[in-house]
Amino acid sequence: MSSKEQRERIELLQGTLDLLILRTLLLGPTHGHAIAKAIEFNSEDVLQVEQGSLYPGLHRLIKRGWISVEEGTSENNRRAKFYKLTPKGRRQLALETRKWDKLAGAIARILRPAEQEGEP
Amino acid sequence: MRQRKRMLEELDQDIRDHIERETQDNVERGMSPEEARYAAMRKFGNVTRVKEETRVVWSSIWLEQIIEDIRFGLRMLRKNPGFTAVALLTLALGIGANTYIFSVVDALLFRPVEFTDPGRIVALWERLPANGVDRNELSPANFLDWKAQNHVFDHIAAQGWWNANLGGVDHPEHLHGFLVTPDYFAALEAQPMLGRTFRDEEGTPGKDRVAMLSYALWRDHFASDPSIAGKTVLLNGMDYTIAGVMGPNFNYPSGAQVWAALAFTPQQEASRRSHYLHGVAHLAAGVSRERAQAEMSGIASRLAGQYPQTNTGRDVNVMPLVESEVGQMRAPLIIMLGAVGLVLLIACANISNLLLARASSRQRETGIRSVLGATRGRLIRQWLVESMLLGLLGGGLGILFAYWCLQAQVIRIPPEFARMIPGWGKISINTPVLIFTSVVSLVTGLVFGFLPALVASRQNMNDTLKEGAPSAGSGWRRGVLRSVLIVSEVGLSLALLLTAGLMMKSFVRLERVPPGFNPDQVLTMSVALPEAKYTSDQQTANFYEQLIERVQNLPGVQSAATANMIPLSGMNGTSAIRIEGSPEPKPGQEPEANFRSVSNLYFRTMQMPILRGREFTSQDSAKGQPVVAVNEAFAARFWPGEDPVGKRMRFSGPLQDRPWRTVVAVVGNIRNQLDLPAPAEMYFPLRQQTESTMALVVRTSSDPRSLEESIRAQVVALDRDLPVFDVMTMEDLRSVSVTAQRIGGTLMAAFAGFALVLAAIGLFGVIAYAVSERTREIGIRMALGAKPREVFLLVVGQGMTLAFIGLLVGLPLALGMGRAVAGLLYGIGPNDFATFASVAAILAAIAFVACYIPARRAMHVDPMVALRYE
Repeated sequence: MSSKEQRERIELLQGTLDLLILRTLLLGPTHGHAIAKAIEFNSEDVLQVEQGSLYPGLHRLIKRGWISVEEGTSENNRRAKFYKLTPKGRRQLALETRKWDKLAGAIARILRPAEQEGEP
Repeated sequence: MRQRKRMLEELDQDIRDHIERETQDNVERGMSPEEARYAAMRKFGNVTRVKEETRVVWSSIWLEQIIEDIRFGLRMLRKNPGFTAVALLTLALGIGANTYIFSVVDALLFRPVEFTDPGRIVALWERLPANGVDRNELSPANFLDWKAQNHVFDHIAAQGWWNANLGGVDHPEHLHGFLVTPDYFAALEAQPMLGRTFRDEEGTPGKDRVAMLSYALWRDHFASDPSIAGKTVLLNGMDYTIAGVMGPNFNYPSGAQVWAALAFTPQQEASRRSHYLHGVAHLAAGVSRERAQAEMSGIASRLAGQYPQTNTGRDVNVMPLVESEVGQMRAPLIIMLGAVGLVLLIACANISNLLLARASSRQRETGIRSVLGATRGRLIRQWLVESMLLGLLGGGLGILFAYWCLQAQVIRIPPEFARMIPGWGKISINTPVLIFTSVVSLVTGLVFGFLPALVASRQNMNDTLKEGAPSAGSGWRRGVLRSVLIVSEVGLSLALLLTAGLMMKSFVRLERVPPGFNPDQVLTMSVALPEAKYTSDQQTANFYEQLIERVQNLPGVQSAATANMIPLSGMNGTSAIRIEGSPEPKPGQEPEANFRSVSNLYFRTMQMPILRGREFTSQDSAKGQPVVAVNEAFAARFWPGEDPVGKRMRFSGPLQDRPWRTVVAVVGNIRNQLDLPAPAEMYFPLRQQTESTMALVVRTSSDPRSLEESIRAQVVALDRDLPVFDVMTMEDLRSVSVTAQRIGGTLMAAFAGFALVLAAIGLFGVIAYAVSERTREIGIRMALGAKPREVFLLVVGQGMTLAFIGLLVGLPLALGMGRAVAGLLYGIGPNDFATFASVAAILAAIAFVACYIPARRAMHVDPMVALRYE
């Protein structure tokens, strides 16, 4: 990996992965690998997710009751665990999204003047 | 939990599946299988770490956070030493007082007597519903009939008091003994520690010289001799075979030192009139107490039909033995526990108040935490963990405080009385008490931390992050909450103060009740003459008359006399009587009166007034005319409006063949119990009604205790094997007789005083805080021309308003508490207006003082400084 590439990829903030998982599951139940793929694909590979770290995240969300898990078969007829958003998780996603927007907005407002001065 | 286990078990498979899929994708992208697998692994990351982190998700987040909360809480407590010290002191006293009272309740109510199966052991009493008596002693004949006729008990036993003089030792000693029927120990399911208990045949006259020793007696007087069983001991001048020794936990009846076999003489076996036995029984398997009660009542009514003269109206009362032992203690102890609980509640309100004030000063901390992602629940938990830490630390200190109370004997009862209170010796800070205290500490923390946690966590993060400005809305709400807390503190304090006031007043009234004689400078001590040595009435009477004469001649003695029962000692003897010329009474309705056998000069020694007639003199001898002196109550009951002197009465029942006695004197009433009116009483001359156990009463011209040794020496000079016991002054006896009221009153007063201090501190805190928050407003008012006096009144007015609302709110509670203690009061009703008025005035005065200091400060606010403030 070149150093430039590394600089453009962002380490995930604590808790953000949970938000991304919830967002991905909003589209429908799916299995772990597909969630990892979707996050990578949707962020155009900017977000660097070590795929393994998905699992503690999934378990954390199950424990909080925000997602549930059920057995099913995947597209190529293989056994798989399907993760599914619960109503509670749906509410949480809405809440977290609002919070995130707020935080992002606030940080953007603080940073904007610096950008305008043209500092990198 | 099950979900956690399944999820973790399947994690390995999930990870393998995941890597499998990624490999498959990579192969489809054109990698070689080996390359594809390697890339998938790399992309997945460290499998071990992933598994570890997943396990952490399930296992310990909660615990870790709690530990983190505890660390943070401890740091916060250390950072605010002033707050922490005040809160801990309050809690230590509050929880400590609760621990102490609970340790007493635990010993006296929960385990006063320790039996293997207390549910099967019952006490048996005679019940006389017509007279409102439900615990009367049994007569031997009734007891034997109950024993023979019942089918509900597998053991039924009786026990009676026994004076046992321990001889054959350097200093003869009087022991607290009991005569018990042979199956007494079996009825109580008690096993001896050494030897055996009594055999059935030992319950017959001539075979009854066997004794059981208590553990303490065996240890202290027999050097813990392991082979004591079978040896003999000298009791009342006779040899008794020691059957065995009871274990250290067996203490029934409370304070017993020795038990001997009870054998009824044929004459006693037939007696239905002398009531002196206590019954205990063991329920047979499968028999409920209710069924036993029903059967015993049936037997009692059959006996009443059979022996109407003696048994009419006599029922049986089958009650759990534990209930019988602690019944009268329960109400006062529960009231004390309730009162001390209220004190803790006030302490909680106070600490809540302090925490609410702190919630304001910690707004920024809370705000930052919530912006950083702490949920409301997490914030509440942080606050609750902090308060529960305070509670636990306070509880720890409280245990030390309770321990100190025990060591310092905050509740002090003279040992000779404490001995007879079941469970008294077992009061300690033991495991159940520690569990109680831990639970109370945690609950206390929750109670006082709950409101502040809710308030502190409900912060608007935008407001709090802004520099300085406390938000007006939440500040106002907090002010209301703090006011509500103060109002409840004042209300609870009123209830406690009123209860304390009533109990103290009742105690003082009781102390002031004239006993009917002069208790100052009178020494009393008892002597029990063994019947083996003093075989005739004449011998016994001679002994006492010689003793009195010797004591009279001692320097410092004004006068001396004897009586078989002295007032205020709790001892009474009652007998059925007939009045000459009165109609034959209906069965079961024979009049009864107390009687005492007294020596000449008794009335003079006690300084009791002789209202009519004469003192007993040497002419009232065994051969002289039978005489009696009666008290005013007796005269008023049996000869209303007549002069009793010259009238005649005699015993009824077993002693009815004794001759008629002529009344020679009417004496003043004396109280046997300060809180009860004097009953009808008769006095017989010592020579005409001789008793072997007598109390010497000696009126002295100086400190009565200083004569104790010289009087003892006179007893020894007459009979060197004779122990003296129950040595005390009449003043001691009077004071001991009101011990319960004194303890109740002083404890209650201590609780109320503590509550008052807490309420004052709370009120002071709220007003001082309000003043500091309103500094600016006060400054403006003063700049606009308000006079300092007006500012002073404004502040005091705010505080006093709270106090008065508190008084109003507390009124119903106070009335309820008053009613709850009504049964413990003497000479005062629960709605005593004077007490109400004075405790309300005290509270108002304290409230004023608490407002005064902050109000003074408000008065001296400098408008310029105040306006520049903030």
